[in-house]
Amino acid sequence: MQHLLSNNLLENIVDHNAVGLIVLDAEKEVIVWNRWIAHYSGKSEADVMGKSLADIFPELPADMYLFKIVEDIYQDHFPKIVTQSLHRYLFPLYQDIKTKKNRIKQNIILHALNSEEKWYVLVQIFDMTASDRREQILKEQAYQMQQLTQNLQDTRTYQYALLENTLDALITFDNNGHILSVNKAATRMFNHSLEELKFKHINTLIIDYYSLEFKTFLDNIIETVAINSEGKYFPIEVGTGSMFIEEQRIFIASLRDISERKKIDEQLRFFALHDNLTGLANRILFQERLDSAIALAHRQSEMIAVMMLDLDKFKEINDSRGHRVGDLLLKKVAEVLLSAIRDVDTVARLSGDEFAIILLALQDPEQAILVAERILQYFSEPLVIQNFTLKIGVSIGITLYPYESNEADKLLSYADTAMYKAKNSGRNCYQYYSAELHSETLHRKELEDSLRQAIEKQELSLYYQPQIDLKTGKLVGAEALLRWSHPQKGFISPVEFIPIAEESGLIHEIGRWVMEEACMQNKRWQMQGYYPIVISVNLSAVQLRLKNLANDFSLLLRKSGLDAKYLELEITETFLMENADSSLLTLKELRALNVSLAIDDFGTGYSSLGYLKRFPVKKVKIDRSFVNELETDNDDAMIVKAVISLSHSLGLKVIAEGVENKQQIVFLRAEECDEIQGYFISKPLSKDDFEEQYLNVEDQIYLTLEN
Amino acid sequence: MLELSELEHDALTELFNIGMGLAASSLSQMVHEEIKLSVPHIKLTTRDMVVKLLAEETDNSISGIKQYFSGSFNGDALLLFPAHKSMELVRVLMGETLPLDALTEFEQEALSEVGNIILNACLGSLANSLHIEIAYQLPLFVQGGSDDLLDGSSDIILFLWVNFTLMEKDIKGYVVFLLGMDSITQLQQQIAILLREI
Repeated sequence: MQHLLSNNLLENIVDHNAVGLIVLDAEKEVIVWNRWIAHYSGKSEADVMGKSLADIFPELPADMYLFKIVEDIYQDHFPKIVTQSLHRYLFPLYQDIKTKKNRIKQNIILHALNSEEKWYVLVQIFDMTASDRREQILKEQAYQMQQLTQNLQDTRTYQYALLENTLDALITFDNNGHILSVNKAATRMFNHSLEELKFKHINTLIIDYYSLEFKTFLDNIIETVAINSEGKYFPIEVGTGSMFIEEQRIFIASLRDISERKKIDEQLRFFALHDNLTGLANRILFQERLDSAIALAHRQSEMIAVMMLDLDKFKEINDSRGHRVGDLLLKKVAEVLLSAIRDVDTVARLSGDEFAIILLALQDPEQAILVAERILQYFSEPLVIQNFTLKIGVSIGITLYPYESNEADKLLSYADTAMYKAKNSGRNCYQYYSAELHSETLHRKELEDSLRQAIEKQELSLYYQPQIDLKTGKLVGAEALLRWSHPQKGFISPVEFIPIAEESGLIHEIGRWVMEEACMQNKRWQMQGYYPIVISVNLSAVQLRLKNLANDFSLLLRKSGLDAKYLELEITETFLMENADSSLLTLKELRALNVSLAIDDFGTGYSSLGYLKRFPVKKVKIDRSFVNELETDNDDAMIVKAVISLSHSLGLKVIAEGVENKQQIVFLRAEECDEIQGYFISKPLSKDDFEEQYLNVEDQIYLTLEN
Repeated sequence: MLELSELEHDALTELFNIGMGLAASSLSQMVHEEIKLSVPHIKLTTRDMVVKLLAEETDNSISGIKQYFSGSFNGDALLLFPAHKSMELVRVLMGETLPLDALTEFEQEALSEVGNIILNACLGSLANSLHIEIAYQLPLFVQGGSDDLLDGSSDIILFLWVNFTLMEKDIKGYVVFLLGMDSITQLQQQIAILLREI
């Protein structure tokens, strides 16, 4: 080859070569140094000729790998490569030699050349800078790609874990309703394998889900029913969303099994709608049932009956026999009522001892009466509960839809009215609601409303009826009697308004007012310097059931400043006999306050006098019914005589009320009755008249001692 | 079937072991890490066997370098690695962990340099011990399946496999000499001479 090329041409080839070329001779000294290497090393050909590489680059360490390789090639003559990849520093070559910036990345190839029995070494230096830059960019991109992939993978792993570990079943499906994917929870919920679920239609899992209505399900949560692999239906809650993937609409349903919640809801609903004690419907459920019964009856033009029932004397039993017995009794009543009706009918316990019944689809009002009679029949026999034989009465009020009303509230209120009517007309009976009852109800309602305001408007007042000592003929006391002067209706009898006050609970307020007024007035009179007398006041049965009655009285006495011995409380014999056990404690407490107790209406309650010894009473008031016909009816005379005699033997004083004529006085005096009260002496007087006629008179004798 | 006698086998093993020792020391010096090369296993076998074996051991994805040599005997010398192992090797040597699943240009260069040192050492030891002249070309980076890499010019192969241990990694590499029938005979003759001298 060299034969064809001139030296000049060879030199040009070497100089213009785009790689660095160095040739070392056998002595390892430079004999060729081309322009490329001169340019990038900053060392001219003249500088390096005849020098070794170590001399040319004194800054390079003597043990540099490159030098070793050069040594090696003189030994083995094998071609060698030295790359920038594995060696940080090779020749000190720079893009800009002046500033020594941008060191050139190199690959170096060495060849041993033999010429005329001598070994030369050709060193070729390749500039790898551009490759290096490309590679750096490539690497950077690769790192970024790796990072992205990793992030994506992490996100996928994370989301997959979320999907797989959520308790909700997740199902995606296409717009044909075909299932595309499901999570683990879905396979559990439906008891299907993943493969079984794939490509099923969504409606085979959720009843009627992907349907015309589906649009309204989107982005909402609905409750519906699903069906599992065994064909078992169960309630679910479904949230539905949608997304677009590759221009395809995909739906995602998130399902939650709500069987448990439903069960709990039902339990809660049951508790909320039923009476804990008896398991009967409570008032809320009763209202619901009544509303739907009316709606149904309206559609089908049927008759329904609403009954209200109330146990007579339940409170007394509860008080005297204890709550345990009371509770058992209520349970027993619930059983009886349930047995008296059909399955479609409803029995509810509205409160305490108040029950209600709805009878559906009646052909005839007689059917309701039959039910009422069946119930009354049952209670006509005494019940035995925990060894107690209890005589229970039931009062039943009945209304009919649609005759009396077509409104639930009214039906109920009319039945209530009828029930009270039944109660008042003798207990253990039933009463149909009627037009008269209706007007009576209105009247009572009116009275109740005005009674409520009566205290405020000062329409109530006390009248005082004098009580005279039969022996001395002198005034010893007075009975305070309540008067209501209605602005329009004038005087209203206590016989008329006291039952209303008792039913409405106004009796407590009125009772307190009476007591306070009586005590205050008595104290006022004493302060005015009149001779002190005892004022007696009637206590109602309702008041006597108050637990802290004695305490109230004690406060009242303190407030008025009246000495307790000038207050006498009258309790009816009937109440005392019926509530002997429960009222004894209250009476003892009252007596302990030093208040006198008298038995009112004595003789009407069929009690034995001996029985009275149990009570801390001091006085017996013979009922007016015996006194009225004393002079004509021998039986009455005998009774009065016996009462006086026996009372005295028990150390009790006796007062006769309703004394209207002289003959009665004569008889009573002969029998040594202690005191009298009645029209013969005086009708009840207003406080001013009483003060004027009885107190403002010194030592007045109201009865002469002779016949 | 051509076979190496036990003596020949031992002699070649020793010879290549010297080469590997040199190579290991050169490599260690170069990367400032201790690199160990195991005693090579040597087998004289057919091309088909090697193609099959390499395919099995490498999932038929191989990278390496190839150098043509000539002299008293001639042929191709190859240093081959399973492709992913070759990456592992150069990346350990270059101190990089790249996410790329192919060797970059620089990595190919690096593999060439490493391969060159090893093959130099093997051929050098062979030439020195057998007192023969061998010349060869610069290494070429090659990659592909075993059938492609071992071209069909020769049916007999002197096959060596070597374990590289560096930085607690074991990397198995293979040295393959594709020799013509003449060259095998030559090699055996030279070994015979060598054995006689001992």
